Amino acid sequence: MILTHFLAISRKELYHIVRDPGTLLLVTIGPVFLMVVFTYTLTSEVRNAPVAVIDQAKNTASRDLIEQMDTSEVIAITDRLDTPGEANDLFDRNQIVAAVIIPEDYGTIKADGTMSPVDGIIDGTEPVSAQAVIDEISYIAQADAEKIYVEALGEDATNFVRPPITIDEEVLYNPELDNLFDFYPGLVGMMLGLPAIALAMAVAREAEHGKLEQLVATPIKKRALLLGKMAPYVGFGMLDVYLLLVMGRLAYDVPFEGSILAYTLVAILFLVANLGLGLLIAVFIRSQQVAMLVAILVFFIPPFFMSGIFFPIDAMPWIVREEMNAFPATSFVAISRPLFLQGTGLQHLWESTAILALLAIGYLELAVFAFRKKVIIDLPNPFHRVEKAETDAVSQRSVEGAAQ
Amino acid sequence: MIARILNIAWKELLHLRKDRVLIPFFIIGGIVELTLIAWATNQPIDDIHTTIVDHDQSAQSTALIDALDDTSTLAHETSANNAAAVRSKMHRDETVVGIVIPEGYAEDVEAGAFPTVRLILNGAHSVKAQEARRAIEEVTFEQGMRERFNMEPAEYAEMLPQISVRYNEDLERGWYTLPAESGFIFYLFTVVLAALAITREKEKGTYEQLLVMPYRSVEVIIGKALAPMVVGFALFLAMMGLTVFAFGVPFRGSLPLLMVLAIIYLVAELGKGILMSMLSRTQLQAVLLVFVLAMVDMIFSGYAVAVETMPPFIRFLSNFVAIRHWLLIVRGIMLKDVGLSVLWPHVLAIIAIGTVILTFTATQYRRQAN
Amino acid sequence: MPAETLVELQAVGRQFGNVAAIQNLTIMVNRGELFGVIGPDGAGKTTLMRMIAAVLNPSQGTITVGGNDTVAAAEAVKTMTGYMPQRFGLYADLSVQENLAFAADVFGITGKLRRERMAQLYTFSQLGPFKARPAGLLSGGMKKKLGLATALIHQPELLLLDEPTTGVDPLARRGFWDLLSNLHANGTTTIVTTPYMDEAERCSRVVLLYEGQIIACDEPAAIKARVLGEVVTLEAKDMRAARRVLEEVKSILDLQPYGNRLNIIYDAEEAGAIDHIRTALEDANIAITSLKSVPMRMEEAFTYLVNQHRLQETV
Ligand SMILES: Nc1ncnc2c1ncn2[C@@H]1O[C@H](COP(=O)(O)OP(=O)(O)OP(=O)(O)O)[C@@H](O)[C@H]1O
Ligand SMILES: [Mg+2]
Repeated sequence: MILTHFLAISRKELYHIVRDPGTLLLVTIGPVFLMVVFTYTLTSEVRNAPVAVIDQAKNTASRDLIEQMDTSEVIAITDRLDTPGEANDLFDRNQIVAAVIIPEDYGTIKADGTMSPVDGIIDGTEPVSAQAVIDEISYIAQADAEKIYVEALGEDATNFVRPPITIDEEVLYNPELDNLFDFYPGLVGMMLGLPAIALAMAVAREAEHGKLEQLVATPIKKRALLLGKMAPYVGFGMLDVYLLLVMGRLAYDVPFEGSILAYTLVAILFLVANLGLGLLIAVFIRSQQVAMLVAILVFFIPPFFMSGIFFPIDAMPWIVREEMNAFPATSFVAISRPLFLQGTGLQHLWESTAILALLAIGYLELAVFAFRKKVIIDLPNPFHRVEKAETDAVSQRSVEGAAQ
Repeated sequence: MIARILNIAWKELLHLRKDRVLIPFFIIGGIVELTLIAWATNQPIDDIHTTIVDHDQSAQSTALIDALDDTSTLAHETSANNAAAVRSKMHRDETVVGIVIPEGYAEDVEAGAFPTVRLILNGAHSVKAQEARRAIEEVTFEQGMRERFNMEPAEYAEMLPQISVRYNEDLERGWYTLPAESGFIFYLFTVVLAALAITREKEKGTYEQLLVMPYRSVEVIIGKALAPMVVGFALFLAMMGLTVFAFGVPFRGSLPLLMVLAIIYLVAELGKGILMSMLSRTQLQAVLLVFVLAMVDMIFSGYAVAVETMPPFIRFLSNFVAIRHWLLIVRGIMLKDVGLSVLWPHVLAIIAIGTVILTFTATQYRRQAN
Repeated sequence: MPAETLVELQAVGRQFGNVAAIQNLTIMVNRGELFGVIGPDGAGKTTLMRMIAAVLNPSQGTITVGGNDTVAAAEAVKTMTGYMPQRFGLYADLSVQENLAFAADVFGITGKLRRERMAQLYTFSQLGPFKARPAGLLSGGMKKKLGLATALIHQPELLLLDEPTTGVDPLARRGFWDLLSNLHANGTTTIVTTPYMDEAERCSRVVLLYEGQIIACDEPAAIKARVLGEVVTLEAKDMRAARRVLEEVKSILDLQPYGNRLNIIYDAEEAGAIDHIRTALEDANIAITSLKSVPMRMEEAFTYLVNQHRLQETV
C-alpha cells in the first residue's frame, strides 16, 4: 500500500513538474544557468589588466623591461606617460589598474652593487585582481633585474639576485592553481539548492491552492506522501548533477578524478538531505512567496558564506562550524572537493559522509513527524494579510480621483 | 497630473505597508547579508595545514621550520617521512601544503650554494595553496638572506620593486564587496517591489480596471514606481550607514552627489521592474523573472571581480548594463573621492539606458491598454 | 428494521481564536440517509464537514464515524469516507482520467476492480467523453461531477460533500442532485451541505445551522410543519410603509422581505387573517399590487425559525 501511495504521488508530482514550464526550467537548466553566472561573477581570471608605464629612463634596459611586460597575459600596457602625476586622472577614471614607474637610472648597477628598482602604483579597490597584478609586476621586475645583473657581471651575479633558497614547486590536481577548480565542486552543491526551492514551493502551492485538504482526507500514508513528492526532485537533481559534471569538463576543463559511483551516492544523500530540509520548511509554511524567500535564506546564503566553498571555514569558531554541519551543503563541500578533484575514496571521507546520511534521514523523519494530516487553520498570523476592505476603498478613491 | 500620480503612489505605499513578508525579508536579509560579507571577507586564510618533511635534521633546517612557524598562515606537523607520504596524505585530503627539506640543506647553506626546498601544493584547495605559496616564498627568501648575507628584511627592502597601493591600501576585500552589496541589494529591492506593483493588480483582477482608467501611461508608471523608490532609497541609506559606520569602509567623497545619482539610477532601473511585472501573470513569476535578470546583471556588474580584468567581449557588453555604471559610481565616490567631472560618462550611460527602458515600458503599457 | 447510526456527534464545539464556528452540536446520522446541512455563509458548515472528515479536530465533544473516533482513529475514518471539499481539490493540470486514477491509487483500488469502477463512474458522471481533458478546463458543473466521482472511487460508507452545487448553473445543479438521489436510492449514506434552501427539500433529513448552532434537525416536511403559520406574499407601491403597518398586526408571526416582495407568515389558527392584513393595509391607504396565499417553503420556514431563535437569544 505504502508503495502504491508513493508511486501515485511521485507520478502526480512528475506531471506537475513537466507540465509547468517555470518549475521545469527551474529544476533542469536552472542550475546550469546559475552556475554560469556564479563562475563568471566570482572567478574571472585576471587577463589584460590595463597598466600605464612611466618610463623615466628611456634606455635599452627600460625598453627591454617594457617588452617583457608586453608579453604578459595578466597585464596589458595601455598608456605611456611622462610623469607619475598623469596617472592620477587615469586611476580616477578606472582606465588603468596599475602604473609602473621605471626610474631614470634603471639598468645601471651602482658602486655599492645595487640597482634602483621599479616603482609600482596599484589601484587596490578590487583586491583580488590587484593582488594578481602586484604579483605579476613584481615577478617581471625581479626577473628583469636578474637578467641585467647577469648581463653586467656574468654568472657570478646570480649570487646577488637569485633567491637564496630555490623553491622546487610541485602542484597536484590543479597545476595552474585555477580557483575555479577549487570552487566548482562546492558550487555544484549550491546549485542543487534550486530543486529544493522548487520542492518547497510545490508543497506550499498545493496548500495555497487548497489541494491539500482533499489529500489529507484520504488514508494516504504521510511518509509516502512526502517521499513521493520528493522523489521526482531527487531525479531531476541527479540530472542536474550529471549536467554540471559534463559542463565542468567541457566548458571549464575541471577534471573529474573520482569514482562516479561514490559521487552519485554522495550526491543522492546530499539531495535527499537538502530536499528533506526543503520539505521541513514547507511543512511549516503555506505560502509560495514565503517558502521561496525562506528557501533562499536557507539554501543560498549560508552555503555561500559558511560552507567552505569560497571562504575557508577552518578559521571559524568551532561552534559556528558545528552549526554549519546542520546545512547539508557543508558536508557536501567537504566531501565533493577531494572526491571530485583528487579522486579521494569515500573511506577517507567517511565522517562527512556519515553526517550527510544522518542529515538525510533526520530531516526526512522530522518533516514526516511535523506533518499533520489536517487542514491548516490560518488563525491571525503575522504573514497573513487582511486587507481587502481597505484596499477596495482605496481603489474606489482612485477611481474617483481619476474621474475628476 | 501630479495629483493623479500621487494618488497611485499613495495606494502603492498602503500596499507596501501591509506587506509582512517581502519588506522585512529585504531589510533583515540585507543586513544579514552585509554582515556575513563583512565577516567572511575579513576571515584571514590562516593555519593552512602543512606537512613538513625534514630530511636534513640540522640546525639550519630547524631554523627554517621555525621561521615558517612564525607566520600565522601555516600550521604545520612533521609526521610524514618522505614526499610520497605527503602526496598520499594529500590524496586523502589531510593536508594542503607539503614542504620537503632535502638532505644536505645545511651543507648547501654553509657552502654558499643554493639549496632547494621542495614545495608540494594541493591544487584542489587553490585559494589556500596560493596563500601558502606566497607566505612560503617570503619566508624562505628572508631566511635565505639571513643565512647567506646575514641581512634582515629592512636592510634590503629598497632593492626590491617598490609597490604602493592606492584607495584600498590594505587590500581589504570588504571595501570592494560591501559597497557593491549595498548597491546590489538596493537594486534588487526596488526592482522586485516595482515588479510586484502591477502583477498584484493582475492577480486581484484590478489590472483591467487600471488599464481603462483615464490615466496616461507615464502617470501609471511613475505613480507605481514612486513608492518603491521611497522605500528603496531609505533602505539604501541604511545599508550605506551600516557599511560605513559598522564595517569601517571609508566614505571619502560627496554624500549629496551619491544621493542624487542614486535617484537617477533608481528611475532607470524601476522601468525594468515595471516592465517585468507587465510581462508576468503572477507575483511569483515576476519575482522569479527579476531574480533571473539580476543574475545576468550580476555577471556584468563587476560585483565581485573588477570588470576591467574580464574578457573584452564581456567588458564591452557591460557598458549596456546600468548596474555596472552604478557600482562604479558608488565605489568611485566612496573610495576614490571622484566627482562628476570623472563620473559624467557613467551618469550619461545610466540616463541613456534608463530612457530606452522607460520608453519601451511605456509603449508596452499603451499596447496593453488598447 | 431499526435504523443503524453511522455518524454520531456528541456535544461538539469548535473555536477559531475567539470565533465559535460550531457550538454544542449533537446529531446522529443513520446509514442510508441523504442528510443535508443547511445554513447561510459562515454558519459553520465547512467546519462541521471537516471535523467529520477527520481533518479538523473538535475543540469540545466527540465525533464517531462507524464507531471510529475522528481524533483517535482518524485514519480509519478517512478510509471509510469520501470527502469533497468546498474548494476544488483536484489537480487542474491532471486530466480527468489521471485524477481518477490517482484517487484509485490512494485508496488502493487496483486491477480489474479499478477498471470496473472507473468505467462505472464515467457512465454515472457522464464524464466519459472528457477523459483526456485537463481538470482545470472542465466547466464548473463538470468539475463538481469529477469531484464526486473521485470521492466515490472506493465506494465509501460515508460520502461528505461540502457545497457541491455552489457556483454551478441551475441546470447543472439539478443534474447533480439527480446523481445524489440515485446514490441515495442505492443506499449510500451522504452528508451534503448547501446554502440553497430548495435543495434541502430533496434530503431525507436536514439540520439547519445558524452561527454554529442547531436551529432544527428533522425531515424537511416536519421542519416546515413546525411553523404554525401560513404564508402570503405581498407586493405594494410603498413597501416600507406597508411594513411599518404590518409590524403592528398581532396575528402576524414573521415578516420576511425578498427583493421587492414581502412574505408574511401569519398564525394559521386565527380565522380570516388574510383579510385582516388587507384591511390593515387599506386603512393605512397603502395601494396593494398583489396579495396572495403561497405554499410554505423551506426558505420561509428557515427564516422564521432563525428569527424566533434570535428573539429568544435577545430575551
Ligand atoms: N481556518 C479558520 N480560521 C479562522 N476562522 C475560521 C476558519 N475556518 C472557519 N472560520 C470561521 O468560522 C466560521 C464558520 O466558517 P465555515 O467556513 O465553517 O462556514 P460555512 O458555513 O462553510 O460558510 P461558507 O458558506 O462561506 O462556506 C466563520 O466565522 C469563519 O470565519
Ligand atoms: Mg463552507
